[in-house]
Amino acid sequence: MSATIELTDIGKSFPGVVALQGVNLILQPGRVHALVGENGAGKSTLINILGGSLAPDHGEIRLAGQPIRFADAHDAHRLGIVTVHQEVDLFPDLSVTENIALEQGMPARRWGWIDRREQARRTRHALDGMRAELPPDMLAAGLSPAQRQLLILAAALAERARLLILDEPTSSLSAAETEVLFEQVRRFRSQGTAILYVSHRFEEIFALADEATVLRDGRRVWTGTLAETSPEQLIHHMVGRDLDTKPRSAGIAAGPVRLRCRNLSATDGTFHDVSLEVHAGEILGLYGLIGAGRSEWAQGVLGLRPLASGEIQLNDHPVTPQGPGPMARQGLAYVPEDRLRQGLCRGLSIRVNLVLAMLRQLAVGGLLMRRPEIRRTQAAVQTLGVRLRSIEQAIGTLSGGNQQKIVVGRWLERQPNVLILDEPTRGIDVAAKAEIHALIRRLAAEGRAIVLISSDLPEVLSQSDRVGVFRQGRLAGLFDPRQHSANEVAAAALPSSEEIRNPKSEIRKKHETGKSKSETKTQFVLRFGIRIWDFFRISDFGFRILPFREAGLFVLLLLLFAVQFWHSGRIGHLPSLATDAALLSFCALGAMLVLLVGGIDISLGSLMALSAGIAGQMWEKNYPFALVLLTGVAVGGLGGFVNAAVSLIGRVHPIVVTLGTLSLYRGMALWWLTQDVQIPGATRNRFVEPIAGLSALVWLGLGIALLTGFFLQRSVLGRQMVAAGSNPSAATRAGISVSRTWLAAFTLQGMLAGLAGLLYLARSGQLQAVSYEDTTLQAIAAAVVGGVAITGGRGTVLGVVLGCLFLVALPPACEFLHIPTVWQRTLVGAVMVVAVTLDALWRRRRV
Amino acid sequence: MSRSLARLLLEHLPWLLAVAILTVIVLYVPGFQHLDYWLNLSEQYFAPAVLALALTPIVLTGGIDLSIGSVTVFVSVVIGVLLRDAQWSIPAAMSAGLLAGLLAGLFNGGLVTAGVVPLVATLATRELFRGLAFSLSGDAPPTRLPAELVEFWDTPVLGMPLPLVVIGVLFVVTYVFAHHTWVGRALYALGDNEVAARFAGLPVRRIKLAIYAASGALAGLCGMAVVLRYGSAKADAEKSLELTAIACVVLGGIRITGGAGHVAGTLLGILTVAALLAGLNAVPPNGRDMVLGVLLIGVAVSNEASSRWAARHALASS
Repeated sequence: MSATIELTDIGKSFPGVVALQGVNLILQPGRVHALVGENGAGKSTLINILGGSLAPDHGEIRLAGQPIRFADAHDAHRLGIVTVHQEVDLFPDLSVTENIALEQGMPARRWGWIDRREQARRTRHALDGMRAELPPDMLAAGLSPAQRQLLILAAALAERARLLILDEPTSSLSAAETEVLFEQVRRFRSQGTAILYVSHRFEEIFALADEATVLRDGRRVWTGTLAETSPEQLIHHMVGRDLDTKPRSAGIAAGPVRLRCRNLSATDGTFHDVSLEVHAGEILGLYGLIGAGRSEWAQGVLGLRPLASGEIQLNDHPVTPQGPGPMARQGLAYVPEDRLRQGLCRGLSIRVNLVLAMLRQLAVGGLLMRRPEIRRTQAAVQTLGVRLRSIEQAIGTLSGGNQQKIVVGRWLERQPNVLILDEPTRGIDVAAKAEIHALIRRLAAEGRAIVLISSDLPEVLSQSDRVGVFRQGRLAGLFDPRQHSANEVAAAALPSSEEIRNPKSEIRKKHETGKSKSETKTQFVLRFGIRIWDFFRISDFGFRILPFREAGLFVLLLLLFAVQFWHSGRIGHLPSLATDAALLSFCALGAMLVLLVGGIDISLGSLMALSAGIAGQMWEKNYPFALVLLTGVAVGGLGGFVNAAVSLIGRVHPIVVTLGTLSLYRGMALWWLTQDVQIPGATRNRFVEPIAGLSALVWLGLGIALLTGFFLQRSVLGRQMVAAGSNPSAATRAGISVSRTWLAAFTLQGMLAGLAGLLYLARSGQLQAVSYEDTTLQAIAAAVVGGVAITGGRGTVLGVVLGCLFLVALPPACEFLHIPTVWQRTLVGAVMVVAVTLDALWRRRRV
Repeated sequence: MSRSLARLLLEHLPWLLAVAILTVIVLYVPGFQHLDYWLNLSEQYFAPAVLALALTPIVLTGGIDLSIGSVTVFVSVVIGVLLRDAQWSIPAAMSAGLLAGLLAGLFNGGLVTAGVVPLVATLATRELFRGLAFSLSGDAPPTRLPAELVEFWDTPVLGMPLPLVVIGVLFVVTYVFAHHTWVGRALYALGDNEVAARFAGLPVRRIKLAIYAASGALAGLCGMAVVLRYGSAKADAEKSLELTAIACVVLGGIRITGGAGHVAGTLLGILTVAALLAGLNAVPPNGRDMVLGVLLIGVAVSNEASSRWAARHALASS
């Protein structure tokens, strides 16, 4: 039988990093193959190459014997390679059902409508497979981490896969759920699927896998069948390099304690009850798996993560962490884990990056002097041995090792006596690694206290005087590298099955019982206050009331009408209010479509003027109305299309593009409309005359709103638009063309703008080229009040319609409340401010 | 040689484009060859110029302030009402106006640091401050304010129009702030990578609060200028001031997503926009809007393309 997939001599490098080198891997049908290695060994890169998200620089991939190159992740998916990534990447604004459907491509009927029955059937099938009881209509944003993982597994396992890749699939699952997953994996195996299983949990690997490959430093070090291997042997292969782990001999005479933590716990439960000390001249290594709480602890000490309890002493003085700046003043510095995200300003020069942490110290009366800055940079670059062309070159152009030296150097300028280095050698080449190690030893010899956080066990063992091991948020033990073997340390970092069962809740429970009894009343009240604040901040309470925004708006609206009724005994203005709201809703719905995909269009008003101007002149000359309407809508649609196309092709932010077209379209409207358009009453009567109490415009508005809602909810394109705005990278992976959704949204909004412009004309009877200047931001305002998120993915038609009604109904209600007319606009503004602030606070809780 | 020349040209493309546009206008529009005309422009385009300078630090951090036009009008109404109804002295009313602008800016900054996306926050306060302007001015907008106001505005300083002097001073201050102070440096870091700026210990929230407050204060200055120039304060004036100011900033090559640009670019942008709007006034009916729009897009697209090219080139050569 031929291999399902065969990788030969795969190599992959990133700027400054060699991630994989000469890796061979053969996955056989009907076999579970485990992939093990430490953090940073190259597992993720290998998975991404198999899954099509990365193309290898070197080597060959054969799928069922045929050489192949995947265009992208979607292409690999189409060929039957299903990947479940460690970081669960869902569409938070879509339901459970839709998240499953998007994984497999939405089932469509004619005209691009979603086949809802088929979709529901597939959901049931998928959820049953994992025995997951998730409410199908619940939004993914409201799921717990375990539920999210179940969802993503259910979606993946419901597919037919030739190759199934599971990356740490059990990190949030309970034991029972893990058992169901294993059943499913075994079912796939019996059906002849090849499975690549990535895990740190040896119990799982030995329970499930037939064979294993070990990666270390981007190279394959071992492949074999597990039946003939013990866990100890596997750890040995993983850690390897016996020669390198010779412990450092110096540092025996440790100085005074520099940093002391007592019973430190985080409010978010990422680490708990951590007590440790670091001495002057000592290197304390911290080892553990990703998410074990090492980096989180460091961030807690720095004040980048809120602490629930515990105390910190620096040089024997108690301190309250207040952020990296104030802590550096007290002699504590932290080199973060993620160089690209947390360390570098990639577009800025080496000089700027190096002095970033001491800008204030360099400045004289607020002014930065160029000469000392350059002198310092050159001196630092020389001491650190950074290889560069000029200190003015962008730091993004350096190799990883040299980048890291700059980030370390940035903090050395502050002369810290405690330095926490988080993964300082991740992703850098061997030579640079040795240089960094030498630097760390030199710093310790100078009498600084060093904390070295690393996932590289040989590094930790060879560089540190003592090694602390983190496991599941706790300090699991302290080891002496001269006395303990690598295997002992590695074993201490691996969670046992007991702890896996439900680590989060366990920590939380202990957190609650662990409070000291001797606290004063004030302390108790304070802690109670913090607890309540945490409830609002962390729990999903905020999210649960989110859907009630519409209800809240509705109640407010009823109140507004009630006020009117109370005072006048009738709702006299209702028909005219409804007409105003209907007219505004066309634009607001358009704005919503654009905001949903993550764009923004401020040229809306100009586009309305242009399209209504062109169509209106035809109307004035008594062309058939159908033709007039078609022209208006077509001109609007074209204008919207141009906005999106320019933004996509030119890769310019849509706000800049539409600022340009705002001016352009207005100019065109002015140029076209040399005189105002006048439509006689007789021609436009049919729009204004009431049908069943409300004008035709209102009925049209209702129709358009329903249609828009139906389109967004029930059509494949509509759902894809929401998905693209909700999570663009996941959308691309699911094979959705984000550009297409942008083009569709902008074009539809343009068409709605064209229609709206014409209907405003139908109501008022005349049109000037500058009539609609205010409409753009009013429409966006109505959408925002109605709950549409400016960042994309979230918004409902009902919310927008209510938002329009609200904005329109507020002024007359003010009248009845005897609020002077002149205060109405202020009130609208205040309502908007409150709405956007609440929205931001809610969203922050959701993250 | 030709390669490094091409690179030099590309890196300075925003400025070259602005200079090219200016040259064309000066050569082909008769009025622009006279100095007096330029001096007059400074009066006409005082507010967009000042607001563009106020926006520059904000855009450098990747933010935006859409409320500046509304704050301008709000402050002008505050001053007008204090002068007319409360009978305050001119200096007192002016100071109160500036303070109102500063507070408005602080309010914006507060919203932004609380986590509201700048675009949304200032879109909402744009409505709020415009509304406050209407509320304060009531049914009768303050007009026919003391004649000294306009006289003061028209009095030259050192032989130059007052607005030009103010713009000049503000330009120098903004230039020094952005390029020679540590806070200015922090703006670039923040715009390039806010997380990294925070991890490097920069006081990100305080800086944001400060630049939005400063933008409010400068909008207050513009409000003052409105009262001085017209001797009245109308709540429905200056409709798209913020958009003109943003156009200046973008034409000057400040990247809208933050982290790149130069204050001198903003000045070029201001000159270009002013010259375009004034210079094309005589050209076909309102064709200037079209020209401005097309130029804005053209410049933005080519700047983006050139910076991408430069980045790629630098990567390949290292």
